[in-house]
Amino acid sequence: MSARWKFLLRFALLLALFEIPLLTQPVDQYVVRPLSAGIAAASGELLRFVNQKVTVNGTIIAAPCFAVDIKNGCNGLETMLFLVAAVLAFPATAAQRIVASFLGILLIQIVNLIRVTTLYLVGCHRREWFESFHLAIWQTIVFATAVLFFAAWSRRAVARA
Amino acid sequence: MLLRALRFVAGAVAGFLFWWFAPPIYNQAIAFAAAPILQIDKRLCGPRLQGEGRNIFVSPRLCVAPTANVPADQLTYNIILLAALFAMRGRLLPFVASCFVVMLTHVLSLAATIESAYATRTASWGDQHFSPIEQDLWVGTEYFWRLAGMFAIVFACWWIAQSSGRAK
Repeated sequence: MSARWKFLLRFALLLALFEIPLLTQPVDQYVVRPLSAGIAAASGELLRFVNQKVTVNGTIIAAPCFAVDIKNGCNGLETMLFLVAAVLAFPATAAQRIVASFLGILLIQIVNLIRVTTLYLVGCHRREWFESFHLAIWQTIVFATAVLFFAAWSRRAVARA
Repeated sequence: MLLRALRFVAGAVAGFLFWWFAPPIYNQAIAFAAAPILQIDKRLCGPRLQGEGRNIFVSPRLCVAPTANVPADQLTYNIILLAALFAMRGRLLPFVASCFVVMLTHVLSLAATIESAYATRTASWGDQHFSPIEQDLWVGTEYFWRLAGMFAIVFACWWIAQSSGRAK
């Protein structure tokens, strides 16, 4: 089996290993929802910083004009796990993998924070655009960030090796 | 670097336009391809699949079962990322081959989503016709695909094309 197929097989296995537990109730209760609530709190702070009068209650960011509920799929967790699966599947040193995972997670959460705040603003000011932004545009941007980060990192990791 | 970024954006825009404007024809095509797969499950009563705007409407033909309405555009927007990633290098043949693979997964994911809809979103009908394990399996498959799988297949296609290009 060639190296690229080995990588893809490892990636697929790790992805399934990481993502499938997200569908279980205990992981949802103790990992997904607290993370989503943290993202809602951070997004709420960011929105208040740009003079939006929002209130945050758990995973819900609400205002008179619109409310968003951050659920599984909107918290960046699945993209983080996607990236970590790719990084771990790639032949690199342990140190390179740890640094790449940490930086990748940080980058994805920053992008996701921008996603949540802009989605709130789109929902508030252009509600008819919300669904397209929510699904097609932002989900693509977040995963594109993960793929491009991985592409850049893997090229450097190979060069250093 | 800048040229590659511009190509990425142009590819994403092209992919978005396809995703936005193609559903009347494209949804009909994937519905046509998914229908024979769904005939295998007799509980769905030989469903007829009809593209309606951005959705696919499922209606049973051979016996009494609920109808279902599946938002097909939520299964197909990975085409935007595919177009964006392949536009960076501008190699046509790997892109066409990858489109074929991704479109095949659209057909399979539509079939799985319809099974999931019948298993879990038809009130008591689903409970009567699907075991709890089957319900968990179908809904798990649907969510795994929608959360990460649909992008993983794009990534896999792009990675294969990338690494084979590099090898040449």
